[in-house]
Amino acid sequence: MIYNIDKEIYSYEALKIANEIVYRIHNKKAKINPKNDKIEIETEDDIIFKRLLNEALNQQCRMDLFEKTKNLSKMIITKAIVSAMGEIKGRKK
Amino acid sequence: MKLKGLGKKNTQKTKTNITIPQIRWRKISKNKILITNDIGKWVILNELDFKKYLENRIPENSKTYKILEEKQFIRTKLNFDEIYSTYQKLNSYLFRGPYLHIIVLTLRCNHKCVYCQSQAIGEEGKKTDMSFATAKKAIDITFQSTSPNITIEFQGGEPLLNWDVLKKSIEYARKKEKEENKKLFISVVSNFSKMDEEKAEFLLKNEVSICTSLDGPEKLHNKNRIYNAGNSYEITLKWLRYFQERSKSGIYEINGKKYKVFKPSALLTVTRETLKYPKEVVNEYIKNGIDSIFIRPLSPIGFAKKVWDKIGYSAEEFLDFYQKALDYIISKNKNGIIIKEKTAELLLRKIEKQEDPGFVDLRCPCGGGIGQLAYNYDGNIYTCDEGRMVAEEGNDLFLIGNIKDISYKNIFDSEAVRGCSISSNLESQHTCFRCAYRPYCGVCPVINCEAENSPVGNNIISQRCKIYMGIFDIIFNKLDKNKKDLLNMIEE
Repeated sequence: MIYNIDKEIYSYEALKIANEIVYRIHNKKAKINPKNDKIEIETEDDIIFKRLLNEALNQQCRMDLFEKTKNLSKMIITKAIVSAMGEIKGRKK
Repeated sequence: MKLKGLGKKNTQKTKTNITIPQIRWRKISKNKILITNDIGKWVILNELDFKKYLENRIPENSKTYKILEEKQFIRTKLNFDEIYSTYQKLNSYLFRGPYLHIIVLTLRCNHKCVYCQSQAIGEEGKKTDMSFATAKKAIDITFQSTSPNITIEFQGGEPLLNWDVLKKSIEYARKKEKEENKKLFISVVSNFSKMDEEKAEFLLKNEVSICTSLDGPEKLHNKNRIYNAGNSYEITLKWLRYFQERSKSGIYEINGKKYKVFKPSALLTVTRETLKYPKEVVNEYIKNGIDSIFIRPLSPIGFAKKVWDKIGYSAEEFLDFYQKALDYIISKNKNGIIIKEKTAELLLRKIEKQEDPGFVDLRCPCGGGIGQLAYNYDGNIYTCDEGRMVAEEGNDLFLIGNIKDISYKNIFDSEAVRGCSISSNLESQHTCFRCAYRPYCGVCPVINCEAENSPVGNNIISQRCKIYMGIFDIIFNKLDKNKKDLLNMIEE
């Protein structure tokens, strides 16, 4: 079965990540092909398709949020890693 | 510090000069809304006051307004000096390196606990023993940490089965402590089955803190912690009492020299069987003079995942157990028997005092790599002990590298550490980002990987998230109804 998904709702990247996660749970992968403003998803299993869309939504929300909060996220992570690492050569104290 | 007009630009229909900074909220009971901010301050409002707060209609001369102002919930009256210092206090782990270093001296163990992967190894065969050369390198890396205080936790398997290396490692670590001028805390996690007077004396002389497992009353303990060569419960209690006796004065004196003696502690592992006995488990700790009990959920990772059908439980079942045990502890405390529940204590230190309790499991980012490191018997370094456990089952995602060919600084360049930090950042977790418990909570990439097949996870279906949300709900409801009940948990 081939399903056509609107690119404005699910990005290709979110679907690709979701496909990997669904594969680890169900051991089955869908074929995902971007085509113009649609993304084509090919799978014989209706449940895999539904799980894939649920997981893609989760990934899409995460990616959209990261776009909004990335500056803050990076600041926190950088602080944590630099504090753990200590002095870096060439970096002014 | 008053910043006149800040935030007014985005506010519509302002009736007073109140504008709202970034807050998170959660309905914790009928008519009660908890609001929290980034620095961990919180207020519980009734629904009407919450509505008024959102509509900027709380009168400036009211008590509620004063509380909101004092706790930094009024945008036009934010005190940025206080915000900065409170944030730094609550998140002090962001300003230092890993302080917890877990050294796994052997995977061998003579117990066959129902939840532990070590049961596959057994007592014989020294292939999984750490050599002293490896232990020495691990200790050298430990002392390169930027953290001024360091904890080395020797564990296994049963670490006393590799006694020679344990002994040499403790002596070496104490020598390094003097050279490096760092404050060192050493602990050994043991089932006591191989303990004797000579070993106990050595540990006391080296100011080693002793931790063991006590899973409840005899029948329950022995059902969880199977030991074919004897009664695990009796052995545990015998040595627990020995170390308690020695710790009474707090000082151990031999040949004119004085050593500090720590109270021995015990860890509880909650299996499905434990859920039937909340009061009995608490009574067992009280009966044996242990003044703190750590009620933690079992994680479905590594070996425990394989046997989850036999020993696991749902979030709801665990929360029911937790609520009953905590209520019972509080009732005992009211009768003058002092016993603390460790999870409540750790959370209350964040909630009530905005302190970092040094708990690596609930942080943003998680403590994997940046807060703790686990050194396996073969020299492999992992982000945490949980990461090491899943590696035993074949998942190497949390492997940083081997002690032979990695420097301290390279640890933080590794994909494992960076991946852990990025995937556990709550600012990018769409459920956590808006959660009222965000300032006090954290996610675990290892559990996410095992339960949801991705280090980022999906908190909508996460059992761990359900458990911690439930524990926070219990604690905030108690703080709302009778704060005094809980506050003795954080009294010294």
